[in-house]
Formats: sequence, C-alpha cells, structure tokens
Amino acid sequence: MKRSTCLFSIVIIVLMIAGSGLALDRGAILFHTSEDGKMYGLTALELPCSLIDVLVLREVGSGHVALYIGNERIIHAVSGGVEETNSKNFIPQADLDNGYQYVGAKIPLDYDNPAVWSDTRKSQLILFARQQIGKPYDIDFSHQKGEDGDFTCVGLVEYVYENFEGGGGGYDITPSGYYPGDGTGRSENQTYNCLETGFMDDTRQNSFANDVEFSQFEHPLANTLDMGREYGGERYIFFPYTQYLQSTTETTTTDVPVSGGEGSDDDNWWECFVATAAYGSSLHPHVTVFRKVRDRYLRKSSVGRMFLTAYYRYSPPLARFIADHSALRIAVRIGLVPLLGVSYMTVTFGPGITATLLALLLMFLPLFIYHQRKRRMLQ
Amino acid sequence: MKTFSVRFLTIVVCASLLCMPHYASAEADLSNIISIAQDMSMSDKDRIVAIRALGASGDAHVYGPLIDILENLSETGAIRSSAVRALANLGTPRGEILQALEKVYRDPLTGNNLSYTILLYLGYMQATESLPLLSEALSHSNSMIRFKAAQALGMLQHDDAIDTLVSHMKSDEDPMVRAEMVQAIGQTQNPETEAALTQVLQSDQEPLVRFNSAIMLGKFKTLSPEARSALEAARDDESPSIRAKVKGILQ
Repeated sequence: MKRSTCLFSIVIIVLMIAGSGLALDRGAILFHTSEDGKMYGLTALELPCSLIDVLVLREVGSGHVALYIGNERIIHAVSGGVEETNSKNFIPQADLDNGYQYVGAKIPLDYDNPAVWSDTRKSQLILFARQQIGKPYDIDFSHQKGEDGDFTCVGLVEYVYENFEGGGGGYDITPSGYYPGDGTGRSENQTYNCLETGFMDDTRQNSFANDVEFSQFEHPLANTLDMGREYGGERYIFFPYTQYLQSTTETTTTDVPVSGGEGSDDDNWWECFVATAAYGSSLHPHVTVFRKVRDRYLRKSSVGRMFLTAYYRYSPPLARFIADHSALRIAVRIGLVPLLGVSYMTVTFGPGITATLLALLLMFLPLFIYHQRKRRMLQ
Repeated sequence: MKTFSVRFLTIVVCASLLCMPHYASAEADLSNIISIAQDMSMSDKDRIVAIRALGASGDAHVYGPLIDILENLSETGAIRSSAVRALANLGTPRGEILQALEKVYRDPLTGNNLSYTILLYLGYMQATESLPLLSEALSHSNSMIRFKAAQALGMLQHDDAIDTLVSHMKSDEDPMVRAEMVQAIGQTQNPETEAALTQVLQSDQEPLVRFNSAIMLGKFKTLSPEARSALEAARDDESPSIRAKVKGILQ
C-alpha cells in the first residue's frame, strides 16, 4: 500500500514537472500576421525588396504582438487601449477567417536560466505589464512606447521589457541599430523593405514616432525610395516583424490556445444572453449570426441601439432562467427559428433585400392562404 | 467724451464682428467632432480620435455627449474606455464626471477592462471623492480589480488611502496584488509608509512582495534605523533577486 502510494506520488510529481515544463512561460511574446498572412510584406518572414515588388505590392500588413501573462491570459494594446484578455483573443475567430496567421512565441535569451531570469524577475515583468492596463492606444503612432502614456502593440511590449525594473534596468528586446545591413540591403536573414511603408497616421502623414528604437537599418536606396521611416537622419522599421526577428529573443513552443476567441472580453461576455443560454455556447453558429446582425446593423441605427440598451439591461436574468431549464432552452431555440431566418437573410443579402422579400412574403401570404382555402372549398 | 465713447463702441462692435466667425467656426468644429464621436456608423478609429479631441477641448459642454457614450451599453468596450479617458482629461464638471464613472463601474454589465480603465483614471484624477469606491474595490473577488484599485489609491497620496492599503496588504491572498499595494504605499514617503514597508520586507512570505518593498524603501531619501536594519538583514534573503536589489540599494 505504502509502495503504491509512493509510486502514485512520484507519477504525480513527474507529471507536474512535465506539465510545468510544457506550459508557455509568462512573459512570452506572441506574434501574428495581418490578413492573408501578411506581416509587413509578402509573407511573415520576407519583405518586398525588388522594384517589381515595389510596383505590385502597395499594401503592407503590420501584424500584432501581445504579452502572455500566464493562465491563458494576455495583455496587449488594441484600439480600445491596453487590455487583459483570454489568450484565444490574440487572434479572434473573425481575424482567423480573414487569413490572419499565428507566427509564433518568443522569449528572451536565457529565460529558462533562473540565475538570469528568476521567478521574482518574471513576476516583476508581469506586475509592470498589469500596471499598463487601461492606458490608451497610440492611435496616431506619435508616442508608441508610452512617452505620452499611450502605446502601440509593439511599443507596449518593448516598453514593458525595457522598464519593468525601473532606474534604467530591464531587458532590451530590440536594441537600436541591431540590423546595420551590409550595403546590399540584406543582412543575415532579413530582406529590407524597399517601398514606402504606406503606413500613415490618421492625418495621412507618414509621421515618425518619437525616439523609437525599433530596428534601425541601412540600405543604399533607403533615402531614394523612402524606405521605412526616417528619423534623425536614420532609417527604421518598427512593426512586429522587426521585433520578431531580433536575436535577443528565441522561439518557444506555444501550447496554449492563441486563436478562435470572440475578441475583447468586454464586448462579448454579456452579449446575446438569451441566444447563448438557448444554444448552450456563445460560439454556436446561430449565435454568431445574431452577433453579426447586432454589429453590422443594430449598433448603427438609433432604434437598434435603443433595443440593444433595453436588451442588455433586462435579458441577463431571463437568460439565466432559460439556461437552468433544458425544456425551456429547446422551446426558445424553436422560437428563435424565424428570427434566425431573418437574421441569416439580413447577413447574407443585406437589410434592403431582406426587407423587400419579407414585404413580398407578407403581401402574398394572405393571397396564398386565400387561394388555398378557395381551392379546398371547390374540392 | 462723447466722441471717445462712440469710437470705443465702434471698436467693440468691430472686434465682436471679427471674432464672431471665429467663435461660430469653433462651435461648428466642436459640433462636428461631437457628431463624429456619436456616429456609430463611423469607424472605431475615427470615433476614438474624435472622442479624444473632445476630452482635450477643455470645453465643459462636451461632458454630456461623452457621458452618453460612456453609459451606452450598445457601444463597444473600446469606445466606452475612450470616453472614460476623455472625461478624465476634460476634468470638469468634476462632480458629474466622477459620478458617471462610479455609476458605470458599479453597473454589473460593465466589462472587466472598462472597470480597470475607470479605476486607473480615478487614480489619475486623484479622486479622493471616490475613496469609498476604491476601498470597496480592494475587497473585490477579481484580483485584477483589486490590483487596479491599489494602483489608483497609490496615486491619491492621501492618508486614508494609505491606511486602507496597509490594512488590506496584510490580508490579500494574491502576491501580485500585495506587491502592487507595496508600490502604491511607497509613493507616499512618510514614517508610516516606511514602517509598513519595513514590516513587509521582514515578514511577507512572497519574494515578489519583499522585492518591491525593498525597491520602494530604496527610494526614500533618508531611512530610519529600523528600515536600514531590515534592508541589511535582507542581504541574506533566500531570493537572489532580493539580495541583488538590496545590495544595490545599500551601496
């Protein structure tokens, strides 16, 4: 008995150690591309460089980056500001559908070495990242690293790593001038961008962020072709791509879900209460149809907003009641069928065609019923 | 005298006429920005830029539209969070703004990130009026709410806020929250906060909390003999991070 207990304990301990070894470490940096797998160029790992590319490729995807903080949670800077959310929301389902691709996760060098990166040091990194939650997104890319209290996604990660120990401490994940180039426009594993970034701020100016030190580079045609961004006589590119390529960080295995979420927690934990309760999951395809109608049409009309305000105010208790009664859930699902049909038509054909079809249906239905009755009477 | 009065009146009328288009144009601009901020058919980005501009306008009249946006449940979290920041930036009328922020925070339908933003900005606004809400938030079941409340209370630099933080610091079970409380307390440098930080350095079980206590004590310009003694004792702390930090401080 004692032996079996001992063996069991050993197995549990081994499994725990193995499990902890597998888990993505907090502090890992996650990267994904923009739609169609673009991250500042043709593919995730190649930048356009030839004149043909310059002429053909005018659209440049900038990608996205987030900081993993453990327990399947991330902190990242999005348009609403610095948020903490489920790691699945790193690439929401809608973005997956548009071809956004996960590139991978990276950690600083020696991150597994407790003499360099002690548990306390890693915790301090997360503590500092949590302090940034709630701060705004740098929507005009003027102070990306929080100089004015606002961040881009790349700037946030860089700022957290560089400043989490205060007083000049921290870890430089994108050292200035890291890629000096070799005069041909290429360095070890990177092809430099040869076209104007096309990345404008909201005033349509190709402005440059203050004191940005994301990859500085050199290229013979840099000034002629206005490659990257010019600042203080130097050229820079500073999107997730450059951060991803740094050799100050190394690739690590991602074993937590990083995609398929519904977007911001704030916008989804309370949505479509009744439908979610009836279908049992907010990811059910029918709930997705209702969500699309909400986002595309209801939110954009005053009547729709009035309905939504009332709905969100009063539906949670109703949803809870439905969720607790399986028979009622089935009944609600059946009851929602006509609404689902109309919603599906609205999403597929647009509100105009749907309204016309419904109007025609309402016009011809009485005629149809009248004819059916007349036919029966004649028979 | 009469001639002077006529001349003066003429100048005033002309000046008014010259200024009127300017004011009218400024008002038109502001109305235009308000309509963009409220227009749900516009992109989030355009609306956020407009909301931010309203906050920076300094015109107290825009608080109404901003509060409408903040309280509208059918708005996205991104837009509502932007309204929080704009209202905090606007600053006046302070009473109404704080009331609206507290109301939204207390609404059970408010999402987590919006709540975090509100707490942070109550701190930025140094809202001592919101001390009861922030103190209450320190007992919330969500540890991130407690974290952001501690962060905000630290920004207040108020005696009551410090007392509340000290009392919760002993009992909070989450080391990350306790560490944030230590950082918050350390922003006010007085004998009471020094004593509280010293006690944490000597007795907290979690290295992260002791580490932050050492950092905050290191920021004091002068240290009491007790605090110095605690720092010297921490040179033998089991955590290498604390040992290294303390060594740097004592040097």
